[in-house]
Amino acid sequence: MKINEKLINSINKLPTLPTIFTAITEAIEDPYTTNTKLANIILTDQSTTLKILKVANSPLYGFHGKIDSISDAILYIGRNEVKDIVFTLSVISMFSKEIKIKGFRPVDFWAHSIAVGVISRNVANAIGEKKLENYFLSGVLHDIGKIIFLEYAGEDYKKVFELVKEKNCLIKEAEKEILGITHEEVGKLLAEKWRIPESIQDVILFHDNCVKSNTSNNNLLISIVHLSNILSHILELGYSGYDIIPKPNTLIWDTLKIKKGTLTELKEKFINDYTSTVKLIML
Amino acid sequence: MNENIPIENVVKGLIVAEPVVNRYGQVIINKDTVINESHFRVLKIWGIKSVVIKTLINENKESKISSEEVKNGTNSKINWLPSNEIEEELYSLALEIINKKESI
Repeated sequence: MKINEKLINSINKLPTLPTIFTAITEAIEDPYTTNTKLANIILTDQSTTLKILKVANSPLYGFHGKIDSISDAILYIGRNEVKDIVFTLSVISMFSKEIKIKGFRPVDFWAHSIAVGVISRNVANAIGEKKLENYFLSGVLHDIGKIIFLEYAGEDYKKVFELVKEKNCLIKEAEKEILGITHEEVGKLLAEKWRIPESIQDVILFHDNCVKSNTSNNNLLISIVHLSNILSHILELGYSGYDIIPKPNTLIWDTLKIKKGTLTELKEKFINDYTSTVKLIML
Repeated sequence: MNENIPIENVVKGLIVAEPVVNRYGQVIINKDTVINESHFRVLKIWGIKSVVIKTLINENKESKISSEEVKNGTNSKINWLPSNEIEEELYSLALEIINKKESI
């Protein structure tokens, strides 16, 4: 069996998401669910409750300690943002065991993913996007395929890193050469299995080259995650498996219409929000 | 002795005597760096008109280290050229981080 066939089979065997996430998703999808009922579902899981409160009070959302109950969190940051935080926590807890591949630890991978999430939300906010839902989660999940490789391609993935170092190339180029499939393609398969919204599936598949988008909204989301990935490499927040700073796709500038000086101004906020969020989620 | 020479006279192998800075005051080429092919691109991007170089060239240990640092630093991390103002800003942020690390 080819490596890529083995990997696709492993995805089919992957566990579903934790019960708490499924319960919250079902409750949110039900238009008759009240905020109190939703809060009660979340309250059944103490560790999730505590982390939601911490993340909701982090600088990322700007409430600075004012949210002291799950009901407040739902009210102030919204049902979908709460769901995204639970999703983030669930996925990280599923794939956080230590895997021994020299030079690439899951903890650094998640730190990079959180960085892209935090920067994406900040960039979206800075360019005046009103609907900020999905930006954080899209950033966190953009490289999800890499964690599948780490878990299921073990020794073969080690060869990918060796090739990256030898050629100083992008990781997806080495993945294609050694595994026959990229982390974007594997990530998309996983996202389909987990029924992640299609807009986020597109981010997972196209964040590196921005070649496709169906709608203008998707285009914006993909472009922002593309830029945020580059920024996280520049600022060296976490580690995604390679050192090169990728070249931005010039098409994103028409979509983003970002003003000169904005990214420099936001640099400290990117770093501060990343530091606090990574501590809250990972520790 | 040092000499400020116009960019068109800068050739490979010269040693930079004073840090070359961009329009934001950020160091784009460190002092004691031995000029190589890739520096011409960096100088062109930032529109640098002249560079202060050492006129007494010694193949000392220090200059070799600097050359190696540059080879393994900026050029191996960024292998593209900015094509607009925002990309210049990204490039500039990257240089800032790289230079900060080198100075530690």
